[in-house]
Amino acid sequence: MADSNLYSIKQLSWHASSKAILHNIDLTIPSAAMTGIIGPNGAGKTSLIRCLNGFYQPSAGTINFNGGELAQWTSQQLAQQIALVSQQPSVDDGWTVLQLVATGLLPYKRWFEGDSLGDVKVIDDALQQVGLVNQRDQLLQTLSGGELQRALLAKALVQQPHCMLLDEPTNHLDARYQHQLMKLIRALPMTVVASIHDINLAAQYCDYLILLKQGQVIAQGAVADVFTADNLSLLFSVPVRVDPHPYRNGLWMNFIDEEGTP
Amino acid sequence: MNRRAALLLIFVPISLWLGLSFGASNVSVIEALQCGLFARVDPSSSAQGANCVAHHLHWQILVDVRLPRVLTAFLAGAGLALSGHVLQRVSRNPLADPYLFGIVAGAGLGAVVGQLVVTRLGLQLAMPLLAFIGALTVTCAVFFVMCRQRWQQIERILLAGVAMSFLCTAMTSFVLYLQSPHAANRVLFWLMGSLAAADWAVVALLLPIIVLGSVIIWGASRVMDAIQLSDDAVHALGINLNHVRIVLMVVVSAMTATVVAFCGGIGFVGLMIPHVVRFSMGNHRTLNIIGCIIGGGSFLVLVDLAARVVLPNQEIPIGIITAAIGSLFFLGLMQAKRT
Repeated sequence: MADSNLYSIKQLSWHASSKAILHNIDLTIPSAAMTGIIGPNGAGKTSLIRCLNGFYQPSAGTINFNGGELAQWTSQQLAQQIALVSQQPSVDDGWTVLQLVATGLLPYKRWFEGDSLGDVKVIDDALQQVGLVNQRDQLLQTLSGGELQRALLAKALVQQPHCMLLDEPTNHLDARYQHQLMKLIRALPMTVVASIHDINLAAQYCDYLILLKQGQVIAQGAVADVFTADNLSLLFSVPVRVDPHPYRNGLWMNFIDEEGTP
Repeated sequence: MNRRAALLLIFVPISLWLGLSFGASNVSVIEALQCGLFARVDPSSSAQGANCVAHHLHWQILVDVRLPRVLTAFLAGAGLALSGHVLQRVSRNPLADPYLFGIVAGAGLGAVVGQLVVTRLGLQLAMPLLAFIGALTVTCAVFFVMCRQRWQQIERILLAGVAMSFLCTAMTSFVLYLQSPHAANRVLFWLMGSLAAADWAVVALLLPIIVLGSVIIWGASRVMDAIQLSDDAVHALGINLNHVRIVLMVVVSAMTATVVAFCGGIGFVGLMIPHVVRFSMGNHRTLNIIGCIIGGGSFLVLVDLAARVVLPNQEIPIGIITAAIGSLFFLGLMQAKRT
């Protein structure tokens, strides 16, 4: 099964100012599938994502990526393999969609190197994929939250990665944009790892889930295996109920009170 | 290139022409050029008679005094504006300014303490050299602090610079307090900024540093754009943020230290011009760099012209004018942002 896993993580710990944020994590992330990281606030979701793209160096343990140790890759090599959609950036007034998306070319550019015709095509394809061709010259501050997230996704696509990491991509989006974005991410022909705040959204769109609590993995696996009332109750420290979704295949979760009423 | 950029481009010949045309003596640039060029072809047969003797003097004023001064002003303004643009990009702080690093304060301290020391030792060293050593020492001190911090937080670089700036200013004031009023006056005038010492040697020193710095900054412009994103997003693009910051800080420090050494403290150009350029041209990386070079250069040529001609037979320190315009500009900017 080693070849089917893009990431293989052993005993990963990461400390921030001597405080343990992630400890002794063992997990695998399958290739060509969508994996969601879920957990309460402060569980370490963003820290885990940052360890996966090499931004944080593990305090202990190893991260194997695509058959080699992640630490052995240069940041440029990693940028050609892994793209990150981080939480919404605060950029200068006056930036256009095109300027933001074009930064995705950087892993392939040296200083002083200009744009080629191939670069223009890569950018156009990415904009096409996220449906922002007509907004290419629009200022970022005039975009809706959903459009801005799609622009960030287009930037990541321009990197032509094999793996896409997304840090809470649906934050601050309304229900319509959440589903629009998740459908777009779901259709990407690559390995996707996303930390997702909305549990039911994660269950609906992901193939695999990692349940993270206080820096430790309490369960991981296919959605049908780990999306259980016991696991989710343990994750959020409140009673939950998991039922088959009434309108589609899959499961959904409801928080319940002590009497078991939703 | 958009219309506003083209409009800015017109400023170059206008400012250079005005800078060459006006000054303490009344010089006709066209006649001086005609006479100077003609005399160089055949100095013995001056067809324009006695008039050309006067115009030949004008030619000398033009070539030996005004042209190097105007070029120095242009290079200094371009260098300061470009440095401000880079710092505002790299630090993600719109209020970043090359002088926040304590470079001017360091140069002032170098000039004051250096003069004191070399005078005691009976040596003769030019004030710009001492100022340059002072500016470089402070920059190295700020870099040393940041290396210990592993360049993790750019805000700390600025704070370290501000702290060094206050320390140097305090030391400079103390030494000036102890020195003779004449020496103090001389240093104070220099600290307020002046292009009076500009000559071809200064141009020859400034030109390669500003040109080389501009080329490096242009090469890094795509990366500087990406630095506007968060640190993790920048890393995800394969950029070594610390490496980029160090390279650009060295470039900015070298440009600013050289300008300060020869021109003294000229505040607000590095802060103001990048804002004007971005406001007029939008956020376009190449246009912003060209705009800073043209805008900063032309602005300082015009300010220097004002410094020369506003008061008869007297020069106003250029830093006073740039600081006055800069302060008013900021008040206007705050007003514009509020509305």
